[in-house]
Formats: sequence, C-alpha cells, structure tokens
Amino acid sequence: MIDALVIAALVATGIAAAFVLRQAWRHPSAARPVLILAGWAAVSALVVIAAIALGSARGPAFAMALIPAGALALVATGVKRREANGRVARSRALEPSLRGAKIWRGIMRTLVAAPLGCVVSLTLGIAWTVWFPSDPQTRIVLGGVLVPVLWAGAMAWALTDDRILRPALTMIALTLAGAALIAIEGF
Amino acid sequence: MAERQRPRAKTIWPRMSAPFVQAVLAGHSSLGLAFAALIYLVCFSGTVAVLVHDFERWEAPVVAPVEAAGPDTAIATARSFLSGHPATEHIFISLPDINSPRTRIYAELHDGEILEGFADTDGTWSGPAQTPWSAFMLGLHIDLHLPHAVGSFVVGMTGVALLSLLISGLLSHPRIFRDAFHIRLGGTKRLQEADLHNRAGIWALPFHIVIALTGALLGLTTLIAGTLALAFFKGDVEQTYALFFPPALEDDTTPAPIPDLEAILADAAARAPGAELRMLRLDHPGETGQSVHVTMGYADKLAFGDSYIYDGNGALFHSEQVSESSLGTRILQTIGPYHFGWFAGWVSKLAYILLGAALTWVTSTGVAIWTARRRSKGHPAPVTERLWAATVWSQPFAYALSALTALVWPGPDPLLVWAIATGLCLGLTVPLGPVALSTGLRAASALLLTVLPLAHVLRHGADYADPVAWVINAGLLASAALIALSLAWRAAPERRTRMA
Repeated sequence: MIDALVIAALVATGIAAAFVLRQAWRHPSAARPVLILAGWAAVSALVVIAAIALGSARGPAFAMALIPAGALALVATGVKRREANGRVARSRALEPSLRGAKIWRGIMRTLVAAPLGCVVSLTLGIAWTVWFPSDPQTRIVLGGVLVPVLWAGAMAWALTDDRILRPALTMIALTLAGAALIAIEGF
Repeated sequence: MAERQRPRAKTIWPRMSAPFVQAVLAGHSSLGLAFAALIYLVCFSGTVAVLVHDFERWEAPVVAPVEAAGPDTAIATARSFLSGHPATEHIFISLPDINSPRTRIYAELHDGEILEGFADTDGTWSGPAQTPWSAFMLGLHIDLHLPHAVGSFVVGMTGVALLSLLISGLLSHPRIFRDAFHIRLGGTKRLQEADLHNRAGIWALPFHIVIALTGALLGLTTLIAGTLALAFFKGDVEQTYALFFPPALEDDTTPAPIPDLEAILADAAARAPGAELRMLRLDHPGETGQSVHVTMGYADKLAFGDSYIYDGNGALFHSEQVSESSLGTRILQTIGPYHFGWFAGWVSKLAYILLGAALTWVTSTGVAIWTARRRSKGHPAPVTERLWAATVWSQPFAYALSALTALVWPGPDPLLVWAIATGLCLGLTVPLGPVALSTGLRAASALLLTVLPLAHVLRHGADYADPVAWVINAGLLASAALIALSLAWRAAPERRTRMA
C-alpha cells in the first residue's frame, strides 16, 4: 500500500514539478524564482520521502525512474508545430569548432581519450582503493565506481581541448602521481 | 513568433564562452559519431532486455505462474531436479519474486553441462526451458555475444563513452534552461531533431547517468578486477573476487546424504525474521564437501539479502546479514536492479522502457543532427545518412525477425538470424537511399511485429498457462502500431516537402 502511494506521488511530483517549472519558464514575473524553487524543492523532498518510505536504496531508484518519466510526459504535452512561413528556420545554436583534418591530431586525441584515459582512471581508482579508510570491499567498489566516471571525464576533456597536449600531460602526471600513491601505501 | 517577443529572463546556468561551447560541441560530435552504432545497439538491446523475464515467460507460456512459493517449493524443486540429475555440481533455485512469478533453476552438472529452466507450480522439474530468443537478446546486451571478457569490455567502454557524451552534452548546451520546454516539430530537420535530442536528454538525465554509470561498471568489472589483481595479488583474479564471496568448504567427493533441507530453511527463517526465502543453492550435493547456501531477502531492500551457509551436516558455518554487510557489498548488490529496472515489477519496467527508449532516441537523433547540419551547410554525408538509417531501423526489424524465427522454426540460432538481418539491412544501403531505407524497414518491422503475436497464438494456442503472454503480445502490437504511426506521420505531404 505504501509502495503504491509513493509510486503515485513520485509520478505526480514529476508532472507537478515540471508543470510549475514550465509556468515559471512561460511567464517571467516576480513569482518566477518562487516557482522554480518550489518545483525543485518538491522533487528533492520526494526523493528524501521515497528513501525513508521505501528504503535507502529502493526509494532513490523509484525516484530516479519515475520522476523523470512523469516530467518527460508533461514536457511531451507541450509539443508545438513550427509555423510554415515559407522561410527556413534559422538555428541559434553554435556550430562545433573547426579543427582542421590533420590525421595525427585525430590519432593523438584518440590515444589520449581511450588508452591514456583508461590508464589514468584505473590508476586513480586503485589509488583511491589503497588510501580510502574503509573495509576492502567498500574501498574496491567505490574505487571501481570512480574508474568509469574519471575515464568519461578524461574522454570529454581530451576530445574538447583544442590543445591536446594539455590533457595528455596532465593525465600522464596524474597517472604517475597515482602510481606513486599506490606504491607508497600498498594494499 | 510569440516566443521571440517573450522577455529574456536571467538564467542560473553558468555563462560559457562561445569558443568553449564550440570546442565541446566538436568533441561531443566526434565521440558521438565514433560510438553511435555501439551506443544505439546497447541502448536498444538494453531497453528490450528490461523485459527479459517476461519474454522468457512468453517463450514458454506453458508454465503457469506460481501463486505462492516458500521453503516447501524450493525443497520440492531441489529433490525433483536431483532425482533426475544425481551428478550435479551446483544448483541454484530462485523463488518467484517481483520480477517473475516462476521458480527458476540453474544447474551445472559434473560433465560441465548447464541446465536452465522453470519448475512447475508444485516444484517439479520438467526439463530445460526453450527460451533461446530471450537468452540471445540478453547476451547481446551484456557482451554482444563476443568472448565475454572482450564483449563486456566493449559494452563497458560504450557506457563510458555515453557518460562522457552526457558530460559534454551538458557543457555544450548554454541554453539548457532557456530551451527547457521547447519541443517544436516541423521546420528544418536539424532544429526538430535538436529539440527532441535535447529535451529527452535533459529531462531524463538522472536515468541516463545511472544507466551509463552502472552499465560501464558492470562491463568494466573484469578489467577493474584484473587490474586490482595485477597490482596486489600477483595477477590472481580469484583473490579479488574472493573478497566478495563467502568462503567455500574444502572439496571432498566422498558420497554423503543431502542434509535436512527442512531444518536448514527453518533455521535460516528463524535467523532472519521479516525476510523471505529468495534462493536455495546446493554446492556439490551428495558429497561430504557439500554446502547449502540460503538467501533470505527483504521486501524493502534492493540487495539480495541475508546469506546463510550450512555444511554437509546441516551446521551453520558462515552467515552475513545485509544490514551488517559493508557499504561496498550493498552497492555491488544494487547495481543490477538499478541498471535493469528490476526493483518494482511492472512499474519500474515500464518506466525503464519509456526512459530507455528516450535514451535510444537521443542516440538516434544525435547522428541525425550531425547529418542534417552537414546537409544544411552544403556538405551532405550521404553514406553516413544511409548507414545510420539502416542502423537505426535494422534493429526493430532484426529483433522481430529473429523472434519470429525462434518461434516458428526453432532450428537456427537467433543470433545468426539477427546477424543476417542486420547485415542485410546494412547491405541495402548500396541500392537504397536513407528515406527508402527508413520507410521500408519501418514497414517491414511493423509487419513482423504484427505477425509475431499472431504466430505466437497459432504456435502455442490461445489457452496460455501464463497470461503474461497476452501482455507481451499486446505490447508487440502496440509497438507495431507506433512504428506504423511514425510511417504515416512521415508520409504526410506537408512533412515530405518541408523536412526534405
């Protein structure tokens, strides 16, 4: 029974929060900050309530799935059709930067983003595992969670920075630092 | 036009310089293109895999759902199986839960053979289940049917790429709040696809992050464990895994009677008040070195539950309560349910299918934006356009065709059918353009998805023992209708002229 109530509340909150935020977005006024705050406060409160009512792991899982589903459903109701005015609509979005098509730059970026990013994230993940003050299982799992997060960040940086040497050298330095930390402490 | 007259409100999103956004966009585009096909395949297969338990039931609808199961069911199942297979190395009996109302058996025999199936409502083992398509589609998501270490690494790296794309996607979106509710269809293809891409990407972001992170972690487990083993255990991976598994009894193959299972399960129930039996596992049954592993789960916890291990004499020699286990162990046990949506029955499954489809759509529109941008700049990429149209629409077609083949002609491996169908779709990029490919494959998919439930009824008869077959059949028909609707929408004369 509690499950059903919380599930209904999560979906309703996703819809209601998105509705309040959309009102703030559509009608800029003095009440706008209050509406924005109310929307996000409702979401935050319900995540906490879900965690209390459904369990510390189950509650956030429900919230993570149901609030966005509700919000997405509400946003989908706002679909508009662009007017056919005979003109080609112009995008106000920025264009990706043009970097030229030098092959060695592409190879360099790939090497920094993939193998070097993997090595640095693994090294830092293990360094965390070695140094984090906890039981071995927790150290390993948290270190393991860090690996994809760090690798994703490294990948994004390597593919973004116009100066590829900057992320490359930083990652090499971090790998060496992580290896030193591992060597100092041991497992 | 009204939108342009609206006064601009201040935004709390940090103002980013145009060169920075352009650099991030360049990285986002190149990474997205490099991994597009893999991300699409993993997201599509993952969305379908949410329902793997239900597709197993659909493939074997002759097994009735179990109304109530407990220790008696588990013991009856163990005895039924072992009476027919005395040379069993391990047997896992999972009792019905919120994901599937069936008693599931997984067993490894002494000769290495693996048997999987369901027990009847009274616990009788009636042979391996014939669910090849479910096994195919789950395997495709987990390791792409490559050698497991390689395949899971590729899937894990795809998760990392997806996570990276989420980061760069956020950073390349300076109008994240200003455009928060814009979904405008029509106009140029690029603007339409961008709206769909950004809205589905932003509003389901928590889900996308969790799926990408847990998927990457699951896929990279072998690499992470192997690296840890290299660093600390001289390459012995078993020592890394041993940190997370209970101790094993010393192997002794001398024949011995199976311990009193009733007493063991009663003891475990007494030690875990408020919990219910989730799994009964017997290792080396009928040998002196045998052990009985009992898992008692709690309704309000995602973790498997309390673990109690008894030796061949029925004496408890190891126990671990979930409330006392380490944070790391509890996190590890929740990754699977978080990733697949297996924590709230149909509610979470439906939400995961909706959000998984959104993530798949985000991937699809990402490449569509890139090709539309190229075209609008006067530098079309016709090969990429064709390949992408074939990639996107090959999967509903190949999945439906492999399922239909498995249903009506169980001979060929569904993987082979899927591979041939996908290859055929990609081969069609030579004679056909993207519009013809998209239209043709959508029509073929809709047709197959309509035929599939009809063939299922003809094959198994309408008198299903498991009513979930009707639910799946209805879902297949709804999918066919959705695809047909998308065809009709695409075929509207107004869109044909404006979206070209």
